Amino acid sequence: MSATRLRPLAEPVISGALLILAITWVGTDGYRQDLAVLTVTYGLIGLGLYSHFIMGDSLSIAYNAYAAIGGYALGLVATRTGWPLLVSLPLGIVAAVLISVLLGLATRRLNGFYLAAVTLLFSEAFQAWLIDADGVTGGAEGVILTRSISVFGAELGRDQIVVIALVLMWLIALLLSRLRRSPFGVALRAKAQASVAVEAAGVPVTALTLISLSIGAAIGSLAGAVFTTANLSILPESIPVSVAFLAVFIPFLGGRSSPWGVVIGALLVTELTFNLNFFQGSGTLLFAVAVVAVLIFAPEGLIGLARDLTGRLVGAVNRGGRDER
Amino acid sequence: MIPLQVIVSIIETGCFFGLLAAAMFVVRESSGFFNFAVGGYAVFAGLASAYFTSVRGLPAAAGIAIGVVGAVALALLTEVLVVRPMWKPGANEELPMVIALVATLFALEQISGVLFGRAALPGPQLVGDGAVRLGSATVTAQAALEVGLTALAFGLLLLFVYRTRMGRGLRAIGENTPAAIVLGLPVRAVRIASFTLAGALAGLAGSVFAARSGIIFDSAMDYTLFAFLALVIGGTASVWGPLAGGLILATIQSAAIFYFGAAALHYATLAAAVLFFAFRPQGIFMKRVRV
Repeated sequence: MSATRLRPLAEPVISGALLILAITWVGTDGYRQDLAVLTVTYGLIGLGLYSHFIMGDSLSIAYNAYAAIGGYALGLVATRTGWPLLVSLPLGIVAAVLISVLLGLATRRLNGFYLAAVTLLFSEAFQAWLIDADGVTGGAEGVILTRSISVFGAELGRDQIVVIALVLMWLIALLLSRLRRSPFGVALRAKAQASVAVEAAGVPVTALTLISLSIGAAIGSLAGAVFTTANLSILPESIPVSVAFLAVFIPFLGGRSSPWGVVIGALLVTELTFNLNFFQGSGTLLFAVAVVAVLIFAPEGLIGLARDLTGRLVGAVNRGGRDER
Repeated sequence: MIPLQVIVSIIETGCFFGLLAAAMFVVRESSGFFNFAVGGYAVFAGLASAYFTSVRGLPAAAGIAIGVVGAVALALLTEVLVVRPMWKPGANEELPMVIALVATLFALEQISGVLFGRAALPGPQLVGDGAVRLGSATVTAQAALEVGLTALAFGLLLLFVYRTRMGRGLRAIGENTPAAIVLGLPVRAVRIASFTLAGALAGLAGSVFAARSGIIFDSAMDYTLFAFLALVIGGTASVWGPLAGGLILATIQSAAIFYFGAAALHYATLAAAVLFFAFRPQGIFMKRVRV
């Protein structure tokens, strides 16, 4: 009996323990910090997509735009104003949410790859605008931050920022995992399966979609903020259009059944594109091949594979035992 | 008014988009999904032909042949390695497979970069520098070749789709795959044929048009995107759909660049996509079924 009562606690406790392990592993090592920042950036972008794509089946992929908005908000507040940098986080989130809602309204009749194509074109147009509007964004040179985020008068160093970033990713994954099972999440997932039926049941489907897109855009904007704070610079090239595709691949790689799959996928992407980059971007090749292989051989991602293996193991131990699923 | 010279270039670009869209169209007709890897075939073919002619010194025709054969081989590999294991007819669960095709696109792009280098290469020059004056415009031999080959490719495609058994099977299977399976149509053979065709069309586009302004490995995604747009604009009801869509897309893009500068390319493409998807999602050529 106590086991079932403890069950809701298992997720935060286990993931929290892993988080503490990760933070101690990263420590003050500059290289590991780079890895951690990249993982959190990819992870947050993937988690952003999780809210509306994996749960709600809206393949809106303009994530390089949202991340760039979060990053440029920091850069512009740091260089153009004397405001505290923390102000830029809500500013970036609001701007990204506004853009995502406008884009969502313009594309509300589209689904599937039509939606993906239009949002991808938006990504490209936004990228072109970032380079084009050099009066606002500094053009191809981008913006170099002159100061870092300060809390209570003390400027945050890179060590603290990495820890905060990791905690942020953990928190968002946990919240999304809860959201998934909340009434909102259930409505969203039902909409993905049968949107007409859900609408008939009295759920405002357009609002539901727009809210899920806003959640994603907000998380995407945070991803850009993390990347920019850690590197103290933002330029169009640092968040290329291909990020939009990474965002789609990451959940498939890790596993779509839970936001933690996104975190695993982000770890893998970092490992493949950053750590195993033997020569001239072969990491990207390896990554693309890995995605194809996972999709063919483990359609539920690595989490699904692990679950499958443990399921078989348990089944072998107690034959005829109950099926977890 | 747009000068005649720009119109010549629009026709060239339109033919290129049209061929790529046709490659997507044949797979769409035979199997009901978008093969987003076509941009990868085109880039591979273009780079292979450019590499073997400009770096290895082979004649242009041999380079183009290598490019097209390579693209066909890649298309067949896609069918065997990706589509075959993941394809579930009638299950309406094609998303993972299409995502896998997008990943294939990236893999092909990177393979091309690793094999043939990441620098832009000049494409193989099949014809000399000859040119014909046409009013105020100059039509180069290269442009004439591109348009001629596109016309030939579409002519053959038309004959194949409407005049052969295989072509009839292709249309039938795309229309209703579970029914085609029940009727015992050779679904797999037709799909393999359609992938071969897709590889040949995309390979032709990549290697012949590479001579226009060179080719670089990371264009694959744009090629796929423009092919998809051209196909959506043109519609899938007729073989002419992809060509019409390609020409319209090229017109929109070139006009935007001509009037508003290079950055307008992306804005205009976005605007065109939003407008077409909102008001004419079935494309210009629609299927009309009488009941």
